[in-house]
Amino acid sequence: MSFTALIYILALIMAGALLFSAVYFVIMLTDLECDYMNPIDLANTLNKYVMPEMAAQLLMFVVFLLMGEWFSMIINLPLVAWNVNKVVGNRQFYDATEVFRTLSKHKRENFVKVAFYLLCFFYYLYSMIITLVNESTEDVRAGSMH
Amino acid sequence: MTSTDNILNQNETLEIRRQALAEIDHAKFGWFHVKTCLVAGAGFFTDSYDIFAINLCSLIMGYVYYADAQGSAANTTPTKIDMWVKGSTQLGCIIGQFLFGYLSDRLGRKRMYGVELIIIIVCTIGGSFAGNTARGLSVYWVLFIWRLVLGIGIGGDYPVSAVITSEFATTKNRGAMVAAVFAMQGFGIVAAAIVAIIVLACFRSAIDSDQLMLDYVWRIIMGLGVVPGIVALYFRLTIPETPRYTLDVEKNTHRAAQDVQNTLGKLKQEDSSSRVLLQSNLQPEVAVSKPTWTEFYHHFKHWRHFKVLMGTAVTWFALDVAFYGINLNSSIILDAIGFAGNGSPYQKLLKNAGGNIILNLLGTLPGYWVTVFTIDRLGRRTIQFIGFTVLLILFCILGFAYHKILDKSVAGFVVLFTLAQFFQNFGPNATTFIIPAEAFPTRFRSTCHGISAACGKIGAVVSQLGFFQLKDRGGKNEFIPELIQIFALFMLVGLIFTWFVPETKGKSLEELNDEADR
Repeated sequence: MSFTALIYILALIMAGALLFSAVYFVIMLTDLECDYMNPIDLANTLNKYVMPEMAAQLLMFVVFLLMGEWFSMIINLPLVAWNVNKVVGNRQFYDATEVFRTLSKHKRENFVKVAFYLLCFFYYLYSMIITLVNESTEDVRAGSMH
Repeated sequence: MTSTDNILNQNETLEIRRQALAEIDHAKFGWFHVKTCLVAGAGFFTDSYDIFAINLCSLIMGYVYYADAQGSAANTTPTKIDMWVKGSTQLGCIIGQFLFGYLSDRLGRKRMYGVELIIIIVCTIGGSFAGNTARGLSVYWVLFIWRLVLGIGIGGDYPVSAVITSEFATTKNRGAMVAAVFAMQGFGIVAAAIVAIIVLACFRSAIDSDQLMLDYVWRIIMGLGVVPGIVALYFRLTIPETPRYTLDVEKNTHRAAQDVQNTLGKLKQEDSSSRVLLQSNLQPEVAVSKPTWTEFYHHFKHWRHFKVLMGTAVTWFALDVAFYGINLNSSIILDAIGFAGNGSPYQKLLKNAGGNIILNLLGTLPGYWVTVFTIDRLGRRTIQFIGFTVLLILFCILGFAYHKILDKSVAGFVVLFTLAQFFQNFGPNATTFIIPAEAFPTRFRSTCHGISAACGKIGAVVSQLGFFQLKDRGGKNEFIPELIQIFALFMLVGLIFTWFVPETKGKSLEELNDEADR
């Protein structure tokens, strides 16, 4: 199995995990809206996962960059730029005192992330299948060494 | 105590009951509800993962255990053995659905929940370690035994998960929640195919050099299915009893109200009125109404109650008979979209798995989720009518013009097939699961859901064991058009019996079953 196939497999699993985390964020934010949760609890729960999520996203981007998977890299670029922007401005964490004010903005951001990760998941799935199928037919034509 | 005291106490009990139910019914949709769906859905995820996995694993096992067979039988599991290994789970399901359906009404949802998942986990792991005995039983028959018991666990999941979700759900979203639990089946199939592709890719060089290394592959694919189940197990074992069961069957109003507070408790900041009522000293009532055969008989001897049960059972039966029929054609479809199995074992299996992902993403998965999002707006009966009607039309077209379509346009065939899969899941497959979880009184809900589900599985078994034999009458795959015509007939039966089931959208479980103020 070539390295390309391996990174798509890992990207697939990662995209699944990120999708799940984005959905979790959305549900937590709606819980806050419905008064099921107080802002301090929300901030504490969500802030634990903010940096890991950004790190995972960045890792995927770097791997695609290094492996020469240009299309996959380009679609991840906007989100990486957005994350970098937030970290540079020190805005990435949820602040318990401000969160009610900026609630709709956060919800929208997380909805967009859910949609993005969902599309990424299917794209990586498709790429993985195509890569695997192509290399299996290629080897047969080129003559396997086994 | 004076009689006024008695009346006062009775009114307070009713008031607590009404309030507890209102709290559940009108709670805003939150993480608690999502968690309920995920935990309940884990069983269905594992179920469909497993059913897809056995299809693939049976193929793989052919390469391992029949590699030495001669001629065209080489590398293929013999049909009869294949049929029994796949059918064993279905047989076990029937037993499990009846058994767990009844037990969950008799002993309580909480006591049974988790038991069926334990059975599923143990038997899946056991099955993935199946081997030949020294004398007598081949690995296939050992697997058969494991899968028979696995079926009991899977069957048990149907009524218990459906009823628990239904009883914890809000009235507005009940349809969507129960449908979402069922929709986990779609994820199970896709997950199984993805896991299969990944494992195959990892073993690729091993397989190409020595075909028998495929033995590892099928065991790993099968065994990995338990992972979501294990995660869900903890949550299943720690749920509180559903308040409705505690109220209506155990008649313990006090504890029910407390359970509601506990489950939704994290969610409510303060609910002063119910707390005040809780503090008043009420004795839990001693009279318990257990579902017995006599009560069952007395309830269902009225036509207006019995027709509901007959409706749900017969429609589920009719649907499952035809459900199998759609899958008869998947090899043709795979061929058409370029994923036919040609070449080395690795290539064939890889393409089979990849093609199945695409197939399911096209029709099945969207169908499930369209149902989730529209069921509380359109209603169960509407969707079931739509589904059966469209399926009737599609099966008639496919049945009577099978060869003409295939010859003229394979793409057209693929489209019809995908539409059929879509309208099955945006249609009777989902609604026959949802309606029995709502349309019966609490003390019979799980039993009747189990009965309906078991009738469905009987239909599936009849279809697999019976019609499968007919498929090759007159030549290989020659009888398929006629089979599809027979399935169209079953769709008609399902359509007719849909008249008997009530529309349950938007009504609370108590309204539906005249239990409002008992």
